Amino acid sequence: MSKKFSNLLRGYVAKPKVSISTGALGGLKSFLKEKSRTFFVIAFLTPFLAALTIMYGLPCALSVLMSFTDMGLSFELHFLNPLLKNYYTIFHVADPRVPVVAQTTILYVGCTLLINAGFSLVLGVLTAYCIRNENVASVLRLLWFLPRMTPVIIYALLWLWFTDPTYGPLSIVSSWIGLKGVRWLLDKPYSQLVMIAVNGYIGASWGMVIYVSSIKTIPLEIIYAAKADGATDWDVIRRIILPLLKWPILFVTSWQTLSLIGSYTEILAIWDGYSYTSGVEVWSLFTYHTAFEGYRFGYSAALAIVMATVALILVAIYFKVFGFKRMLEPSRIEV
Amino acid sequence: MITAEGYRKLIWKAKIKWLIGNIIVYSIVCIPLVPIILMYGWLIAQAFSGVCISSLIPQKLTLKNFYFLTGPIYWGGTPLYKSYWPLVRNTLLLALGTTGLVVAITSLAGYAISRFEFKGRDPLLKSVVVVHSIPGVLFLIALMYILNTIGLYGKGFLTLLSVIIIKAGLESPMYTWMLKGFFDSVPWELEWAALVDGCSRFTAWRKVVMPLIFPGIAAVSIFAFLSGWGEYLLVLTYITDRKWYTLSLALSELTYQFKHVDYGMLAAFSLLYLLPAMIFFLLTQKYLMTMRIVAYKG
Amino acid sequence: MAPQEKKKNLKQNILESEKISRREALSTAGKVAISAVVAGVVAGVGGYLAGSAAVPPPKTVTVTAAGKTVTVPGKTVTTTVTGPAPPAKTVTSTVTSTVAPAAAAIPIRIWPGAKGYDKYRLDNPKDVCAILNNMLASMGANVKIDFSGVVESAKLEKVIAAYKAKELPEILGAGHEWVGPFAEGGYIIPIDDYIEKYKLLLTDWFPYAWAWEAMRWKGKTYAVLQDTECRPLYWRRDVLKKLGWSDADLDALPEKIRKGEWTMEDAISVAKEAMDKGLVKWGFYHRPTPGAQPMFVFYVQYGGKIGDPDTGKLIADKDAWLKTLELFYKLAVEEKVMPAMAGTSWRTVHTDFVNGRVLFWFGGSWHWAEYQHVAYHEELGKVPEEWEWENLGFGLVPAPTKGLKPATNTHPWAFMISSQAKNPEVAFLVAVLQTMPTFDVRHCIYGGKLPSRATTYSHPEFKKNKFLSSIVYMHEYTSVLFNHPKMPVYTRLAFDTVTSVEKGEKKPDKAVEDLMSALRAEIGEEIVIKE
Repeated sequence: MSKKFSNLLRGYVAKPKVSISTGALGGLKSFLKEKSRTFFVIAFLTPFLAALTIMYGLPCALSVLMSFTDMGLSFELHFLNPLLKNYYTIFHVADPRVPVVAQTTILYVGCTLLINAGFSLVLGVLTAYCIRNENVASVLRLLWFLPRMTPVIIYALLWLWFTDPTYGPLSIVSSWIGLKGVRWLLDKPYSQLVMIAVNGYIGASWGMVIYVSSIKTIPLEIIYAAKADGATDWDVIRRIILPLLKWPILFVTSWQTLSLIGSYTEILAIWDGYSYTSGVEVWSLFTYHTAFEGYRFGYSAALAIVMATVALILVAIYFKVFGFKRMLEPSRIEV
Repeated sequence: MITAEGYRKLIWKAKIKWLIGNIIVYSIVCIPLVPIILMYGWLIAQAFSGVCISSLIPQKLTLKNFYFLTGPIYWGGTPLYKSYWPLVRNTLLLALGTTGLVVAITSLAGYAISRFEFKGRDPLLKSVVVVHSIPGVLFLIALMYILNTIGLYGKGFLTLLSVIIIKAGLESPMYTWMLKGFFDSVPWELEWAALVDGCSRFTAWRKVVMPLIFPGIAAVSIFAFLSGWGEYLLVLTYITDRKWYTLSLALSELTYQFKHVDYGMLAAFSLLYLLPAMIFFLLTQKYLMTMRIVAYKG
Repeated sequence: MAPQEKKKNLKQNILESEKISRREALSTAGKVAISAVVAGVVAGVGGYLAGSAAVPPPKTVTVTAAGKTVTVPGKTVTTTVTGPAPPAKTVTSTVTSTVAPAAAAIPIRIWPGAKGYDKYRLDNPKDVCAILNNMLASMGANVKIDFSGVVESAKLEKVIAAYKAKELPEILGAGHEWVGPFAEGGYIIPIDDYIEKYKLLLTDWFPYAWAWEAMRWKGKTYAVLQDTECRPLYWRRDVLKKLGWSDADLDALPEKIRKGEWTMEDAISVAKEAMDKGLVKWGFYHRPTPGAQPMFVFYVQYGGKIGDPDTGKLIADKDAWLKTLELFYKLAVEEKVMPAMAGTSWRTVHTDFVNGRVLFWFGGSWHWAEYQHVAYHEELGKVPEEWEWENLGFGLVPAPTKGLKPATNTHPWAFMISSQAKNPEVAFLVAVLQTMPTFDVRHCIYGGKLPSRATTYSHPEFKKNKFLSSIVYMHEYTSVLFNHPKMPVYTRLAFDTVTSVEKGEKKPDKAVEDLMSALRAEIGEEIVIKE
């Protein structure tokens, strides 16, 4: 922990983008400023770095270690004979469920991402810009936010009611349009649709709030000026709002990808016991089942490490595509 | 020359266009909301019904489902908790504590990351994103080791406090990243001006920058509050003292193995569980709106 | 007082900082931002005070972390090692002898699983300890039992955490399926020696072999049986009456099932008749989540064994599973008297049965009480017991065909002695003594459970309970799931397969192949597959 920390600090370069010091005493002043800035950065980053190391660093290291073992219920670290045995099991498809689970996960993450990053953008723009009545907009936002506020158990209960084969509104409506007898939680393409919707409703509001608060920071003058020049709402959205939302879009997309890869609680709560046959067993749920139902903590850790690696690669791709380097730079003078 | 007739036509056209536009906008936002409205409608109907209902129409209207506000909470036929209110207190403590800590940690770190260049900054930022993808299951055991090492396991209130710290620690990378974006949007000149006026850096941060990123803080607070308010797994695993149980634990006990589940009471309980979160959301959302003016006229 | 002063200071700081700031809007923003932090701190302090109201000097709480010895006037006593600061633990009920300032304390801590109707799982051991303490005090012994307990059961994550913290309580209560995992992890100890030593206390112990089997893991006994229940088949008397059954027919049905005269085949034809006449929407319901009833009941009826007590391995009998799946196929696909149950909510299951929309329901003995306490009925709400006797009937799960036996399944509750128990022998004794008939009977009656001691059946109080007395016979026909850490995986895979058959996705012969390969993949060497 301390090594990483001190490296970070040693490497600190106290160069603000704009130099302030001028005049005769400039040298001494800037030296003092330098010192105070070092102190400043250390002070500002310490709590955060501590949290990062203790809450993430240690568990991470531990799970890498665990993935080389056959750790079971007794929680002892016995290293496996071929050290990478768990990984062989995954990649040589010695476990027949791995490819199925991988497929489900790709479908799940891909489709839900469209809602969580794409549809939430539509929601954000519409409720922040197109719906002018602030009260209406905030009520709508509240409604969209409801699933996120609801404890998982209740949320699962509500979905079980909604998709109930006999009384659920979904079954009733779907029988009108010729989908009679569809069991929304069990029959494969439908159950996967429900899975996507369940998490889409939770994720949509997250992106929406980020987009809305970003849109609200756009100076109204810019929009008024464009309007005065005869721009339509569509032009405003396309030419002013969307370009300014580049950063939030990158953020929400990459973040939601990672969140989705790691999310399983809602699926666990709703499809308790029949997730695999219903085609909703995603990778992280599989990891959970391996650990807390199969008690194969070592194998579970290996699964988790594979998952984290994939997430890492995805993030790298996102950063490349969106020009992350530019985003990484400290903020400069710009609106 | 446009005649009065032509003018009227133009106005009509504009009106129809406006109407169509609005219909499209509202239907995009509202139609997907129908399931949500139905679900929560059912929850409300069930909370006021004396029997188990499977439609949206409440039956045997009653307030009895809210009995737990004034007396012990029953599960099956026997009291599970002596009173509802300590649960609320503990949950509130957890949620507010987490929010406070998260805001403190992230606004400091977000600012430093946004404004300064230092070695290790890029890896730090990237690792913040990457750690997010580690499944929470793995933390439970490792963190329990740590908690035990510092002697905080099973110590009543101190354990709750450490759950708050853990929770805030787990949440903060995410919000630091989020706040960094907000800090980036604040023009550097404002701070510069303050520094030139002789403000210290801390004062500049406190007095100039922080108010400007209020929308960001509000958003972070909402998310941190909600996640603290709904936290289940950490509380379940670490808190052994019933006196410090939270609403989420009580809720899970009330649905325990789906035996003796009193749906009316459960619905009432859930409604009240949702209420503070809703209020908090509405309040912070209001600030989100007003702070905009400050941000660019100041 | 100090925290209050602190609060004041904080408040002053905020006020002062307000004065400094010039722009109103800025200060509002700052105030809100800070107050979020302050709220946390203040709430924390408030909570701490509230918490410490019951907890003696806060200092002890913080520092005692490592403290193992506490000085009591006169003598130094090793308190408990209960770990740090016993007073800080929730002591839902503490039994302390009033005087004896310097008595050595033997801690008995318990996680019994005493929620709701099971409250006597906590109260029985508590009262046993009180009696023992009175005895000790009257003898003038310089020792006492320091009892404390919560109502939770021993859940894996909690047990692991407590074990690592060396805070595992003496007695762990959990479903018998946890005996395997806990023993495997080294969290509990075998008690065979104590059983041998105190066998006189156990002469009227539960007479059926399965009850002991459920407490074993790899040839050693790890737990004391706390209680049992059973899973009957319920039916609607009112619906059957509409089909022309007389009261006498209905009253004789349980006995006919017991003798194997009335089988699942008869049940299916009755269900079909009722559905054809429009009396019910469905003939059968079973639980919508993985479990024993009726998957493993049928499997056992068809001659399947769930596990081998000698080797400690699970068993999957392919032939028995095939027949079981064929029965489900017949119920759901061929005769269409049962829907695919997975995905139905528990609420629907219960409301449909209580309101007479389903004829047969593979339920559990606790449901009898549940219907009296939860408002499932659309007109009556909570139903009185007389209504149940009038409208509901119950019996064993009938034999699938003539020649096979009726059966049921039970889920024994186990009290295990932890490997970190300070005095395992005392813990064992408390666990055994709290099942003495006088204690046992009040638990059974209050909780709707079946006893762990044979003598309890003849206890007058028990005999008075009509429902319990009339299901006692089912124990002769019961089976239990096997004690194995992978049992939940087995249960889930079996349920998965049953679901795919009920949905009509797979024919039984294909499904059974898939089940076997899934079992092999997920459980591996720990399951023996009998072709």
